Amino acid sequence: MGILLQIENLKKYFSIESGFLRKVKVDLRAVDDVSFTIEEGETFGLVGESGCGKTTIGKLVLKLYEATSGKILFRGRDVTHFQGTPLDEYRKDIQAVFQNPYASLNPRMRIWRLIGEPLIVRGWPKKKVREKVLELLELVMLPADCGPRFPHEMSAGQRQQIAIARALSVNPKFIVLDEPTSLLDVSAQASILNMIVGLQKKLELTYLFISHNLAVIRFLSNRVGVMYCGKLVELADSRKLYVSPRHPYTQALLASVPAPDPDVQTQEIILEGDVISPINPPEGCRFYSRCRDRMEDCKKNEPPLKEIGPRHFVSCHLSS
Amino acid sequence: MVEYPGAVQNKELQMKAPNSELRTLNSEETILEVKDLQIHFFTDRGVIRAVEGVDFSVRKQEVWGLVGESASGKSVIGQALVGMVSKPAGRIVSGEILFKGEDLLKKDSRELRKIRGNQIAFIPQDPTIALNPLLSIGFQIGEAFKYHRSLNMNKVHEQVIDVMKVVNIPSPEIRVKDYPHQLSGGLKQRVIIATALSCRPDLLIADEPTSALDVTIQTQIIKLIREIQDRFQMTMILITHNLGLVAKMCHRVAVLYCGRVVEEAPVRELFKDPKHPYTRGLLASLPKGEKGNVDLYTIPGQLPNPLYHPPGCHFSPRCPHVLKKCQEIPPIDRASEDHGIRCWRWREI
Repeated sequence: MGILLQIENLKKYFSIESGFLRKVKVDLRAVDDVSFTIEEGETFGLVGESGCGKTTIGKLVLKLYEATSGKILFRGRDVTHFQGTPLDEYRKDIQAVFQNPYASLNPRMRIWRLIGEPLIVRGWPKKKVREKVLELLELVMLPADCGPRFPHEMSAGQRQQIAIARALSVNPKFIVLDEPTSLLDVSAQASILNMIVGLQKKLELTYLFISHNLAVIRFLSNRVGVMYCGKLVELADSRKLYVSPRHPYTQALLASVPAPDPDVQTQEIILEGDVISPINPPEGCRFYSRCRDRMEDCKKNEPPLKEIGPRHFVSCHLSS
Repeated sequence: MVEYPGAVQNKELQMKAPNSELRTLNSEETILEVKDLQIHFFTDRGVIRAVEGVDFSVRKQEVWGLVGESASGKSVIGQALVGMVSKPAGRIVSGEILFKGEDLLKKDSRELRKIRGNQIAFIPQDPTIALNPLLSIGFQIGEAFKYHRSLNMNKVHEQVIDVMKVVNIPSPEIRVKDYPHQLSGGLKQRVIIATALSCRPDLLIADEPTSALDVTIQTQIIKLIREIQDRFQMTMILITHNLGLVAKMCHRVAVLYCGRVVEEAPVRELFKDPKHPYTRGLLASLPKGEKGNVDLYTIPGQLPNPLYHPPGCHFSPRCPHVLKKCQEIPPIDRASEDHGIRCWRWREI
């Protein structure tokens, strides 16, 4: 398996104006020096709390944001500054499913138009578009007769199926799934997750799966990256990360999920305080203020992301 | 054995889990009893039967859970208990809500106001919406105390600082004057809890108290709520869709589907030995384990349109064990005193 997507030292700073007459400009460091690779055919899970930059990475990969610095390589080609025709070509290979199917589907379009739009834009003849849409509806297990209906007639789960069908219309290789099930009920979530797994096998897709839900990430991912305040703090094979997490933040995050079983003992790790602001983050480790194992060294020196075991990377002074 | 992300797997990491022993309860005294509660919403498109005949009772000092998916009616029941069902569309059609033996539905709004915020308090889901952005948090925490207990401003101030300490808001003397926008989500939820606690209520209703928060903050708030419940021996109704939270917090649970309780049981029994096909489906469809070839169980079909609930057992169109008999409404059948199931066939399946 080759490397499909490679991210090198990616940074995205948002400029925020504040102070008197909004003259002071500060940087919000949404993504700060993140590197990882995604192999062909795998699911890479990105997990973290709100504001940690996981969605920003998704949008950078989709080229919906322009990176401040760093590189995004897709099949070895640098796509970081693609525009115009090459960007259109790139977007045939990479598609997205977003969190909120109430916002991502145009309420005035009928289902067949919603799903077929990427093809219409690319100049497919109407008849061929219709055929393809029927094929896609079958693929995502929606009834073939729902084509002329509107999104408001569908349930949240069905809307997400439509969003998946739309993403699949251009036969992409890679799909960014940004919290596709977080607005769904448990029963609808289960069928969408099954579908995501099934489609991956059938169509040999590669996924970047972004979520705050650790159980969902575990169910889907081969490898998982944990983010905290714009930084990647731990990266490992899914099994390794869940069984022996090394970064104190990962440990706390895993402990914070109550198991749906009264007999399972969960560790109780309570983190003090709140997530720090990515505006002017402190020197040294960003997790310093909440870490229960903090040392003097952590305050001054930022720990680099180091390989501590096979394919297991941690950025923590304790592990190195 | 199924592995859960939070479970202790690594001996190295194992720490004391202070509240991990299964919660047991001695009290038998009932504090709240709801009988045949029916709440309908009269809309332009028809009548939505949000709650169709719900019976339950909550014992003193227990944490009683109400779980269900969206549109199951769980929040509406919570609102009905404090007389906050949105009017004029929503109406409590029939039923009794007996709080300490008195029917709350027979009281007028003035009598109800004496109980609400005083003996029964409510924690809403989203702290950002629940707080008034124009008033300082100190004022909002003290409001109920001022109304119910004392107009003496010094006393109110003392009480406000006191409850702020209870919910662990750092440096309460300074923070009293803060406004909601100055606080983070976790702190806002602490303020909301403080407001609910200011009169030391006997019954606390928490409607999805942690759903709007990040996971690490959720843990803080869950721990806080548990400590408070233990410390003040409060009775609590926890309304949530999060089964993990239920397993961790509750003594007894009721599962709601389309406005009816389909199963009620002590928490351990519900998770270990669920009887109703819906409860089983719900538990089976939770994502667990790792990436592999196993598919998650999915409950077939979709939630019905709330305007047209299926006749008889509402779950019947999605149920794998459906029979002709299911066209009639099944009564609650008891497997044991505390374990009720609303299903015709639970003994066979």
